[in-house]
Amino acid sequence: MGTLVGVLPGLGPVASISILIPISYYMSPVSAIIMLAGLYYGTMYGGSTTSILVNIPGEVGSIVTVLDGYQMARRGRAGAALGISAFGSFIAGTISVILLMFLAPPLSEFALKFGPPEFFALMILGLILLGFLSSGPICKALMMVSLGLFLGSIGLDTIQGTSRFTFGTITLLDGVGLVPVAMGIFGIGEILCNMESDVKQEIYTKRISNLLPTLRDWLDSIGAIVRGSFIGFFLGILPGGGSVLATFTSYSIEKRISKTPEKFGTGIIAGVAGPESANNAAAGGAFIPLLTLGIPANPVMAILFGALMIHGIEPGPMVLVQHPDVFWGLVTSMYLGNIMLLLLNLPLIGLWVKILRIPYGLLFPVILLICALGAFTIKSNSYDVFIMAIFGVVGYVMRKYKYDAAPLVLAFVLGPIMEQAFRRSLLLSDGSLLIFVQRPISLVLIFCASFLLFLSALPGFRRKKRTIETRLTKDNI
Amino acid sequence: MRDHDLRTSAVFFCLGLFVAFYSLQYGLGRFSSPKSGFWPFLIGLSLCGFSGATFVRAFLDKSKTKEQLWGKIKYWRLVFTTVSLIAYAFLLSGIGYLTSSFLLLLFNLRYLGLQSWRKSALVAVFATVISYILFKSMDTDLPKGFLGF
Repeated sequence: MGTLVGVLPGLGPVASISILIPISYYMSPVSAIIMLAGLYYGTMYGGSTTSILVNIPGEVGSIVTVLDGYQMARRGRAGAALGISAFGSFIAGTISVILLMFLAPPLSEFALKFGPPEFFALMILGLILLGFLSSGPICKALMMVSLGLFLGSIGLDTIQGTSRFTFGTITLLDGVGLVPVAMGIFGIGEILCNMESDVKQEIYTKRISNLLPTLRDWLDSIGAIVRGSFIGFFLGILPGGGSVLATFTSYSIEKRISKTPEKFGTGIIAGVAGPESANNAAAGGAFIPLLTLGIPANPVMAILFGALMIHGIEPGPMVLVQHPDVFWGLVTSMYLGNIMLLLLNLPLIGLWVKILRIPYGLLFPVILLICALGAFTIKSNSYDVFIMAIFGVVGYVMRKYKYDAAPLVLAFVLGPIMEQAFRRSLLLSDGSLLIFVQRPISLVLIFCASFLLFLSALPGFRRKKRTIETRLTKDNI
Repeated sequence: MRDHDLRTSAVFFCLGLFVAFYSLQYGLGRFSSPKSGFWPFLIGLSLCGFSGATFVRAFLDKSKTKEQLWGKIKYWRLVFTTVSLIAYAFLLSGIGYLTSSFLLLLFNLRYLGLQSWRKSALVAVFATVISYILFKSMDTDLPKGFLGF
């Protein structure tokens, strides 16, 4: 199902995982997280198929794959591109699971030293880092962070029991649901963008053959795969980092160290292997801050965070202690999932190609229905469908005015925890804000956040960031 | 994006002011014992601060490029999609899952997907039934409505 979501443009892992959350109610917590995580890294495999075959990225992590993958397909090497993408994803996925297995326990140990001030400072750093890495000016991203924090504060104050910003409605006492907000902004917002005009869809009509890479392909790609795996994993850990940063970085590095950088963009296999490996490795790396610190690194992890909370599991350093079955079950499923995805994806290429031939005019109403149903089944309340529709419009307008949705969703999820951590810190310090700088870990985190804000305010840095964004956007065209 | 950023940041600034002032009714408390209004008050101030910074940044932006955001857009398609979704939300519990889903799919396929009535009806029936079976097999409670199904 994850591969199918990755293949279909428009649905995305955020909306899809949101739809599956109500279905996961009937499962054990371990099975639920395995299913949802499986869908996430499955989309990393599927997204490359549309990028390579029809020049449309299936999901954001496959944007860069379009550059060389589609060119390879035009030269009759679609099979090699798909094959190396699948094998690279498998190798990177395996490396990232191994790294997750070895890094998570010591990080959890370290995170046990965290108290409310440290958690608050870490979340501040995470949100500022996300804003720093977002496209456009940091102040716009931080506006979205503030908006997300506000949306998260709607409903009952869990400490004093006061209802806030409910305007007398009973439905808002529970707050605005994460699933309708996420599905609205990402799923419905995407559909509305596609509805602006008739979408011209390229249909891949050639036969795909030679899915197994040749020895030459392996020699050209293995370095890129290994580099992409480590780049992707460590960048995936960063809040806001995720697959987009990992894939762009991998592509830039491969181009820089290549003996023939001028050939990138014309169908170079390393230009597919590196980013696709980074993509999958980032998916594994993103679990580190979620499971060890309880901080979701990107919107997908934010949804998984919500899913874990629904199942009574508080993400953070205590997951390994109190729910080791969840952590080790997830790690095991990622090993097995990677093998299954490799074995399934290549033989099923013909099926994905057939699905890609379905006109968007037939697909989008079905996606609309699935989103609406997903929103409804959370609490069997039509009001959530209405909320999703409203946030669909919000998401569409945000895209038009170039406001990033990721900071909003992440802040929305983190907001209630941040508030608790902040208020507890003030109770601990008897009202003194100095507690955030008196404790060493918190001081370091606050210093890093301040440094990022200072960096983003420098005119020279802003100019360089704009140049890089413009260059990458031009390359995408 | 200059003009757009000026307008949107002004809107968010007003929203931030609203949030800050509205949260006063919940009580701010003191730093040593913050009340329910303390956190949203701070958020309102931060929203004002960042939207103010965006406004100033856009104001000082000397670039003369104008981005056409609302150019060649078929607005009726956007309105149709949104209204159909809202109508679905209101009809779902009233007329039941099967009927409301069929109607949602039928009209979107016909008017936005530009399919024939026959094809739209066939796909709508097929997708509705398959989704019904799929969600029912996972013990999901779907509304029956006054029609009984």
